[in-house]
Amino acid sequence: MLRDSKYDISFSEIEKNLKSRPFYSLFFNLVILSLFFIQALRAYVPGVYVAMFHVVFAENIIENLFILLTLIFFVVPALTNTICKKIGIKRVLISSIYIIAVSRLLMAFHLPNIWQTILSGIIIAVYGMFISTFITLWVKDGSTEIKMSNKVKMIGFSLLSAFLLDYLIRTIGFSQDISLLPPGLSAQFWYITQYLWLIIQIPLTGLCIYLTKLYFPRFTSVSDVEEYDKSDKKSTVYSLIFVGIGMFWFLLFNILLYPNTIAHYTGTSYYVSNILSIIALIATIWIVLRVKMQNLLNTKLSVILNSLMIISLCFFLFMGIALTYIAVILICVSLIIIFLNFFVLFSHLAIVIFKWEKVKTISNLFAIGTSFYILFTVFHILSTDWAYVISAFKGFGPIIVVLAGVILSVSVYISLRINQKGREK
Amino acid sequence: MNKRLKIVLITMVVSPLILSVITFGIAEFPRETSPKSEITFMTYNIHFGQGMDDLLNLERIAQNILIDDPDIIGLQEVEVGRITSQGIDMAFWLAKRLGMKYYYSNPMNNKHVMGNAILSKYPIVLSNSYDLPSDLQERVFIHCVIEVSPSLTIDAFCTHIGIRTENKSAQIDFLLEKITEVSTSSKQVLMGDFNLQNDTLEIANVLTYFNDTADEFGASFQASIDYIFAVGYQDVIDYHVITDMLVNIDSPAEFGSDHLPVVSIIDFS
Repeated sequence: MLRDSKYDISFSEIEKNLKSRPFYSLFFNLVILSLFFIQALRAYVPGVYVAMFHVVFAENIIENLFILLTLIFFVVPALTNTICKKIGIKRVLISSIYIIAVSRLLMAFHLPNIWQTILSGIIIAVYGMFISTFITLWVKDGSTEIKMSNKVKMIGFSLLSAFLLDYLIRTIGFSQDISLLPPGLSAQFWYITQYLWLIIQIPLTGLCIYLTKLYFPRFTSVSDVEEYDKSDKKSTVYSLIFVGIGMFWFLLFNILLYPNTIAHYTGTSYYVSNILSIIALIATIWIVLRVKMQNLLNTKLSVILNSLMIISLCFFLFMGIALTYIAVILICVSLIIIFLNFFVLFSHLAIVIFKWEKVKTISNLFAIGTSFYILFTVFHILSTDWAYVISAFKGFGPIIVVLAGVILSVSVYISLRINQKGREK
Repeated sequence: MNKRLKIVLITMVVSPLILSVITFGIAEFPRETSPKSEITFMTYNIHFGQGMDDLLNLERIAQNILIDDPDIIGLQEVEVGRITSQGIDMAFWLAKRLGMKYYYSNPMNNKHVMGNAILSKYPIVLSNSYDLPSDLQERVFIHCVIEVSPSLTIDAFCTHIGIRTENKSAQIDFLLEKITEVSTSSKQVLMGDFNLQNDTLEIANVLTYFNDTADEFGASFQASIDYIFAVGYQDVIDYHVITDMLVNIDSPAEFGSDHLPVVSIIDFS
């Protein structure tokens, strides 16, 4: 079924070039670290939300203001290039893997909220450093003869697989994240059952560190900007297209990643929404593996799909209860488009050349993306949960979601136009 | 592609789908409960599933509830699909965990805010929700008709009254008016977080219609703002507040919420 000739990616080529163990090490780390990032991004906002609540109601103000200060972490990825210049890009890559793996392990101990939020903030920030250094080294690695399209698709496949694993974990836990559904033991033992996830987390962290130490690919460093023609480099303003990454996170982590939310908006069954969401993600993975890169980067097709996505979002948000399962199907189709948009933006991130060095480009864009994600999330919370605090925001929740969909579509469109112009040149 | 890699990739991609189908298949195993006339009620404000340590842990809430294993539960501050609680459907999760039927609703004019839920071991034959008049945060009260046996049907109500003083009287008036209008039997139980002490005019207003099930059980819980009111019953067999979740352990981590579960055992024979 998975014969390489049928697919636009050759795992055999990557495996042959990297050798078996480094290939598995790279794939495992990329998937698992992305999974930790997804879990941290989900845990971070509730932690900050609780802290905001305490500050508003004047309880433990100092401690909770300290949690709010963790928002500064989102600037950290933007410092990656500076750190790389001081200690070396490979060292930053390896250290970031260790920090993420250990932080996630500590989170599994159910520490107090302040530590949980700080640790999830650290994972988000350090993942920005990991992904920018990894993509730079992976794309520029001169020690192997792996095609660029294979490299990009490998990243896309791994990131989407992390989302799929996240669905798997939440399905087992009946959608309670991070902790698995514990067996019904007596009240005296519940505090032991909450540590069940540790049984999985300890080997995951151990494997991340072990595989990185022994088998993570030894990339060859290539100097950064000088090999490109200066006229090809994009100005800083184009980096705003990566606000789209922030909008992708906003749409997913506020609504579309949760089958419960889809079911709630449409008055349908959680189970059906969960199955359809997983099918949508599997379909996206299949499209990424099967469809040729140039077809995925087709501007006309992208405009049509994104229009469909925005219309579906409107139907879902404004007529979800009336349309029930039609709205669920529409939103699951939109989920495929949104994941494909994410793939397009990420692959663009790997290929496009800005006036900055590559590490700086990716890390800056990661910081911009997460900042816009937080900004839109705050707007959304103020216009929904906390609409009673500032009544002027009331009723704007769905409009903010649609706006995020439009910004994501525009980002992808600009990204594809830049790509097309580059190819024409 | 080698065979080993193929197996790894296919397993990774397909297993979530298989599991989601399995969970769908095993979702509706009904737990049979024999009819009885002494029904245990519980009201519990679960504070979005977050305990005194600010950590979200629904299993801890489930364990707090299981101490008394109630037949009918009224839950307040229940969230569904919000980013602030990691997208969980709390009513659904707890109902599946405890093997109960459930009805959940949040205010019709703001689907994003917290709501109330009623969980029951017995079939819920009718359910509805009503938005309370609110000028601050939207509030709701819900109604379920629960069929304990062919000869015993109970109207269970669950509410969460607002914080602002000017809202409370209007909300209580609306609540009592609606209960009179929609009740299907003479056996009615009103549970909830009223945000009111029991010496207030609003609670006095409720007591013109209902009896406070705490009345015969001393004054030690008079400061509570969580109530179980009832009418049409034979006797209140027991009333208590669960204050110790774990024997011999004294830690804030044992409390699943910033409220305590209130329990009444009521005889409807």
